[in-house]
Amino acid sequence: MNEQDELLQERLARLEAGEPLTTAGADLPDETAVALNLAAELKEITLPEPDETAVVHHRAAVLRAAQAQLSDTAVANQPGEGKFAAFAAFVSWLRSHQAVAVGATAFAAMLLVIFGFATGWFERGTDNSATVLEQNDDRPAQDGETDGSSLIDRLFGRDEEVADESTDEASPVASGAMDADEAPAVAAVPEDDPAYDLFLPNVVLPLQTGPQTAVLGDLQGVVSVQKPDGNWEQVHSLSSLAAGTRVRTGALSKASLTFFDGSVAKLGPDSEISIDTLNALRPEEGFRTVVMTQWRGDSTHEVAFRHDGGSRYEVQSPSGTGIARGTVFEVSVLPDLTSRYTVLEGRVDVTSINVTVSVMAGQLSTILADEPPADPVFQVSGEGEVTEMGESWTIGGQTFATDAQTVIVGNPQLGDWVTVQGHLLDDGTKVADQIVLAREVPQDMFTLTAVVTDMAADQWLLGDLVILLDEETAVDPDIELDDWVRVTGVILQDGSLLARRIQKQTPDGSPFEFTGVVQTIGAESWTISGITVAVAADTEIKDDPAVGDVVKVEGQITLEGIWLAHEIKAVDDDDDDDMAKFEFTGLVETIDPWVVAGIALTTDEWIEIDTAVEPGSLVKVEGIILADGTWLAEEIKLLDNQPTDETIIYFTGEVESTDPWLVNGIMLLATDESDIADDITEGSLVQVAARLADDGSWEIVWIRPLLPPTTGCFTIHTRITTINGSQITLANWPNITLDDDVQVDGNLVPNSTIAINICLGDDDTVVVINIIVIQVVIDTTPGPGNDGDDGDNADDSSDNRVTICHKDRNTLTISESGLNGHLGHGDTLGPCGQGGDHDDDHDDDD
Amino acid sequence: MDKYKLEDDLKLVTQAQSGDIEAVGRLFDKHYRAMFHYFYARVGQRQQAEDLAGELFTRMVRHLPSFQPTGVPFRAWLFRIAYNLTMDHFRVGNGKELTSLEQASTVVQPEQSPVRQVEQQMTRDTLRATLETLVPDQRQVIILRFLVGLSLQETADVMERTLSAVKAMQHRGLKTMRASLAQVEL
Repeated sequence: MNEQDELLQERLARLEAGEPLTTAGADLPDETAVALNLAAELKEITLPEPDETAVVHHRAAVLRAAQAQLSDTAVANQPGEGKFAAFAAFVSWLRSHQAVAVGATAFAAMLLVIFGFATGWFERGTDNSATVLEQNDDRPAQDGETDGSSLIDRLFGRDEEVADESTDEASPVASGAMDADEAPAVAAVPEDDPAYDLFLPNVVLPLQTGPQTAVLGDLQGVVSVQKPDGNWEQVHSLSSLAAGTRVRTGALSKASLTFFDGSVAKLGPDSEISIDTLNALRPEEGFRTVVMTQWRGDSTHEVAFRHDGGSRYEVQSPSGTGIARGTVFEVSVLPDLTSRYTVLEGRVDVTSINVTVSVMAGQLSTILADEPPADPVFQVSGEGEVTEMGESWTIGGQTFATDAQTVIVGNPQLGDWVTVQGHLLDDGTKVADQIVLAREVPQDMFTLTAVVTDMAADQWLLGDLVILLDEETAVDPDIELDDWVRVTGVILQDGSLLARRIQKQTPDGSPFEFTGVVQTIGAESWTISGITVAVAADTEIKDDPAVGDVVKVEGQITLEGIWLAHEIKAVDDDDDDDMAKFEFTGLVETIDPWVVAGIALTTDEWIEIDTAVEPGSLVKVEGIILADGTWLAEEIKLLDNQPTDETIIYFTGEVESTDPWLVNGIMLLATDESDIADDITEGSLVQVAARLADDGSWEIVWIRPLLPPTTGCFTIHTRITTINGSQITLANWPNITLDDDVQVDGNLVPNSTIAINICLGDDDTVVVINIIVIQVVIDTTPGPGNDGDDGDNADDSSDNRVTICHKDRNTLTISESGLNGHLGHGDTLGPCGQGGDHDDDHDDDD
Repeated sequence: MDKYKLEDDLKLVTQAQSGDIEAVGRLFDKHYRAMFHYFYARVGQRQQAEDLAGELFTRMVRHLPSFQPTGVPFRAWLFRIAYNLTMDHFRVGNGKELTSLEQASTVVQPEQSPVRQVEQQMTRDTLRATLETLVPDQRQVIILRFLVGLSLQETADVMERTLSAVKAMQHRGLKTMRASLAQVEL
């Protein structure tokens, strides 16, 4: 065996050196030849490439980690401590260098990759240029080489289309849509590394990165950049943007701008921002200057902290400007040009008409057109059930006033679950800035699958079950007797079932429908909200939708996993019922994270999931597509993998009686096999699965509670006024009493700004989940014996020093002036806990 | 002339250790893709592979001060971290090795034709099936040598095995896979 092992390796080495398979594999024993051929063909397999956005974020995270490690090392390693000498030198080096030559750092790994295995591997040393790929595509099969008919080719395939896609994808970058001068050069593969010569892509188009450019990434939906001629060009991949560029996002879309110093600006849907001035130097290089103007929509900014005094990060809006040094904040520009600056961490100075207000973490300031910024107010946000609508809304038991600036999204109705963002007035009034429909009340809805046994205009028979139809019932075409159908609808007061939708169940696929934004339109397929949807000759395309339009798509997921559209139609903006919902059936691929039928889903704590769902389960998923394009599942329901001769109905409703069981007017029969959750009483909202028995009765399969026993949860930002034992008095909010089990992150002291997370029970009880201290405002009013200047020319600041826990490890005593900066990056007031690495001696005058 | 041609790992590592964050970035750029492919081959799920690759480089930063230039080559050192990370990943219940390689085939690729999607699904299903027929060491060798592209010596360095042992595992692994493919062919 050793001889054969050696022989195989010797021939593999020859292949790797560029010798053709025909000669490298000559005169080999059959068994070794087979192994060599397999090895050669394995090397040609095209593995997927990492998502470019993920690469950018990971790279930024790694560099941040490196910098953080430097900072930690700088604190932990004082002169004389030789523990991490190399990194101490690193710190020293950083401090001594004010400029670093920044080369054309290639994001080699994240860029578009073209393997060209045959050329790259078998023809080692050939030109690593784009033309290589073209040759590869047209290259005739060599002797002994596969020409597409070998086993591996049939199984693994040569991926010409991947190469084509890569080339296409690269074009926006290479064409320099934003700035022809920045067209990236072709980078060569390192020739001195044989392994890289074998497996790195033949063509690498490095993304331009540097202080004067920002990387446009995290693309979702339709994202466009304005060209010099004023026209907009859709962007499909990572791009470098320079000052003077304007970016916009469409409906159900988002994007991010990552700057050279690690700061990130994230654009929400229907937003537009321009980069006015850009020189995002890193700390060791000089001052950072980033100035943008947000014209509409929403953005979030994560600004790398700088304490150099000269760095700028500004977001202007039609009505004002927000200036940050290192913080996290949001900017919203409403249609009436009102701007709102909301600060999540640190501080932002908001200016308009020569008036500046400092907005601290937990606060927001609104600027009306041609007005100075309003005084900062505290934020309140949360989600809950709507029980009152009008000038004031009751959400999760909390009353919110509305005003002219309140934005309501999704046409929520009584009983629906919504998210709310707002602010607290000085008199304690809560004002809603935005209310967004999160989920409709699911009550009275049902779903069942059964065989059609009779069809009439106003009612169908499914077995012995009567289903009513009206003029609003949507019925798939071509349904015939004996077909399997899936029916969704509402349960009427008398318990009868009114169909809203009847879909044909075929053995070769599962139905889907969703509403999304058109990203690309092709002859064979469209991309809609990230989903590739195949179109066929009989696909109905209505209203001539274009890229950027919001459409509703209906079709079937075939057994091969292809989303085949039956109908694509533009959605009327006024039709709220059609907005951004989805529903499809497919196999569960993973549960953490959720991936069903190839679709990545997000969930929240309210999602209804059958407990028996596991990878491989056939499920029906319903949910909504959030404003940024994310697919949020509201319900994941386990389905039988194959239609059976049983008719199962799934529905939601209110329990009218438990003995006998009566839900939504439907009498249910409990059997020994029925699985009924505890604590279900009359009045409970429940989910029900029931089986149609031979005698026409409904036997309970299971009954589960529909909603958690809360009406809403909120995060309230406010300031502590006084503390007396466990009693805390808050500004503009009822006093609270802390239980022992309330988690407190930070030290509670008067004047601290805190975020309280609370949930309200359905019996109006308020449960404090936790409290996070996000900002400490020190009272700097000069007191007796501390007037700020004692005339001795000594450092008076030493009299105003505070103790903090730095990075959860080091106890530092610092000047008050540096306190907010430390708190902004996560440090906490007071000494570190017992578990930390105490270092009380350090004295940082930051 | 691309600057990467002039920079070997050791030089970049030395620069990184002596305070050049740019060098850390270049190490990331140079090795991320190969690491992603390694993780993908091991866990079979794109997002998990991306996350693991990100975590790998964070660990690299953490352990860089302890890297000895005179010891194992840097890339092999990186793959050892990657191997440990993969084992941690499986240990904490993030899935059974290779059980979900096919999942990536159903992740929708924009602008990819339906025919192509079906072909790729077949491809990765078969790859998963055949790799599963190997014992762990053989599987590791096949992945490192032919899917990730390490040299024989690098593979030996990563696995801390002799060249002879790697040659033998390579040969046996290919033979076993060939036999499995023949079954598929039937």
